[in-house]
Amino acid sequence: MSIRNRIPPFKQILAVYGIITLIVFDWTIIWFYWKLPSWLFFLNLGDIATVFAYSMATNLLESLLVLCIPVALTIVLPKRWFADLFVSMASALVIAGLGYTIYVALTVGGLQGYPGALVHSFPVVAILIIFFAFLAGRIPILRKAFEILADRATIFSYIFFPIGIISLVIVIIRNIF
Amino acid sequence: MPAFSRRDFLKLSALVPAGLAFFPLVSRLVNQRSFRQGKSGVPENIFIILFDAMSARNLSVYGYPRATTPNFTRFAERATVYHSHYSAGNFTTPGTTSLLTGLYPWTHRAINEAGLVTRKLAGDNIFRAMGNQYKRVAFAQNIWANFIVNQFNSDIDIRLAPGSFSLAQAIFGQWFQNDIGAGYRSFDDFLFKVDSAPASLVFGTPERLFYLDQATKMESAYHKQYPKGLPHSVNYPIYYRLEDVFNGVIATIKKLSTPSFAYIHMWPPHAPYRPNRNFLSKFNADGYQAVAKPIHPLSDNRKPQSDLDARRVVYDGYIANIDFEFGRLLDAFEQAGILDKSVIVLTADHGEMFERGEDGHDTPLMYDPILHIPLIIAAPGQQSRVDIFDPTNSVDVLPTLLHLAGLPIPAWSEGRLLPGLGGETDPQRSTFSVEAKLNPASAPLKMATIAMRKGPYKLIHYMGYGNGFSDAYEMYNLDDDLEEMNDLYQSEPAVASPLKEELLSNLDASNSHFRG
Repeated sequence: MSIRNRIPPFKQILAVYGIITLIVFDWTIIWFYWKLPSWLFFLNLGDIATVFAYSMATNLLESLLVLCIPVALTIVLPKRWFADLFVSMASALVIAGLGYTIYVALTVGGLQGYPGALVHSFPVVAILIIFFAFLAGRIPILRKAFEILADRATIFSYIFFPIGIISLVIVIIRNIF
Repeated sequence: MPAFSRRDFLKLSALVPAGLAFFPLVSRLVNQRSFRQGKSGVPENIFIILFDAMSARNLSVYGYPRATTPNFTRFAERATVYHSHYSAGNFTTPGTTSLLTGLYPWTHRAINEAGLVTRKLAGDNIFRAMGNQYKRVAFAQNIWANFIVNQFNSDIDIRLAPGSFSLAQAIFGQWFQNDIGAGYRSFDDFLFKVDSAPASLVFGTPERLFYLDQATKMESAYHKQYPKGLPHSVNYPIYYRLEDVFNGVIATIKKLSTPSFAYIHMWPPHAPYRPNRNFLSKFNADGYQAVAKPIHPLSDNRKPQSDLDARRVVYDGYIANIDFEFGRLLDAFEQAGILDKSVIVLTADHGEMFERGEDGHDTPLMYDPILHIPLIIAAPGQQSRVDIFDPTNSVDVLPTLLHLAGLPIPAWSEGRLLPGLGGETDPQRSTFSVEAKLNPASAPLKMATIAMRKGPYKLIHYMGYGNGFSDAYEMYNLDDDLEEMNDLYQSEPAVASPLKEELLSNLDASNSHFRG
């Protein structure tokens, strides 16, 4: 089977990407709103829009990077392990993975030193995340739940991907001229 | 030609003792003339070396009992020392901006944390005023100072990255040279901001872990040298050794072509105070006791005096450490002949306080430790010390340096020529310092603290705060009461009234530009 044939259908990728964008873009947008009141004291709307464009362009690259992980797994893993259950397993994988990343981000936010214990627990957490994704593909109710969630999250792909592209174009133009 | 007779010779000989008697005076006058004009009329280089959060009240060159700054004193022996020099703001943004624009904070409006100069005034800056005959260089280790410098980017020829000379750093704004202001603002003040969770989840989180790993390794590697930890910034992810930064600055300045104008804004002695082991305990149990002062109602920290005294000991040690490094810089400049052809300005953006419950400078209070900053200016080839006691302000530096450079002083500058460097003595001149970080930059000032220095008096006006400080005043006579313990506002209305009138009149004039 060629690699191309192993890649999941576009609709399924879009559903998983919707979940990724929901988490990645919204995380940044929440912080953006948190900063906005102080920026309004001294930045004009153009300045604020520029920061937003840089942020959304960064989110676009981040979300595409995250999407590469489940897509790559469909290529390297046997089809019935992952590709046949792509939406549910990939959704569970990115939700658990990004959820844990949020926990780490909040933990390191105020740190001055390296969180050695946290980092050393990464392999264990990674195994747990993989196990969670496995369960999401194998337990029917979980599988259904993630498929429904992904289906409804698809809309975020249509919202955030164009925003990311437009923002990236703005950033490129600002850095060329 | 008439013959030169024996009698003429004897008459002239009689003038010799008188000439010898007047020689020191004549020499001094000649010397002053030479440093004002330089050998070719203007100084070849102008270098501003600014230390962040350095209070003049903690420097022995200004009479502090602890011997914190022997090398500053050595520098002062060939410089003009300003004893009543005030910052126009009590934290980095307004203080730095007033220095670089010659404008008071109520005019330039860089009054908020991480704030910016009002856009229409961004062209009114020292780099543009110096013109392109100077190679203009800027280096700022403080992100808030860097935001201001970014606004002047088109007028700067060489920008040193904030992480230059550091052991560990993770700064991204510099990658966007064509859009540097937005780059720093987006990445270093938001997506990868160091003192909060990264707003960039996927890139920011591993980047933070990587940076913390690097920083921890460096802390460990240099633990013996810096037992309290490596010096680092709190708003930029940079860890460094003082000696490396000074070495970098020395090497950079030595390499500059002539004529050059450089603005060097160093983070130390800003907190966290991290002296190396030679200076960490330098002032422990030395018997010095700062004057204990009551906790101010507007103090947020409300720290006990014992805590403040302990912090002061470390701060003083850190200043002594910086002074040691400054001594090396001075030696290097001397050996390279830089002192003979350059104006060297040593100053700060604001001070630091350890009194009235406050520790640092994040406060609405405007007492002298936070406003009284060093200003020592050595002119090319200057050989003797000149002491100036008139009140001066950071807005005066821009016009003075332009004057020394033989350039016209722009009409927009609100500063005056410094006495001793072209300016006239005026003990009754009024200068202002403005704290308004909780006020929108484009609105009239309603929540602010304004300090006015005039003659020996200092009037402080609090407005818009709670706790009985919605419209309050304090007044001190600094000639008699250097520690600002005796509030004269109520007891000397004849003095206080005209000062209050003048302060309010100036405030009203500045606010008038921002009313609906």
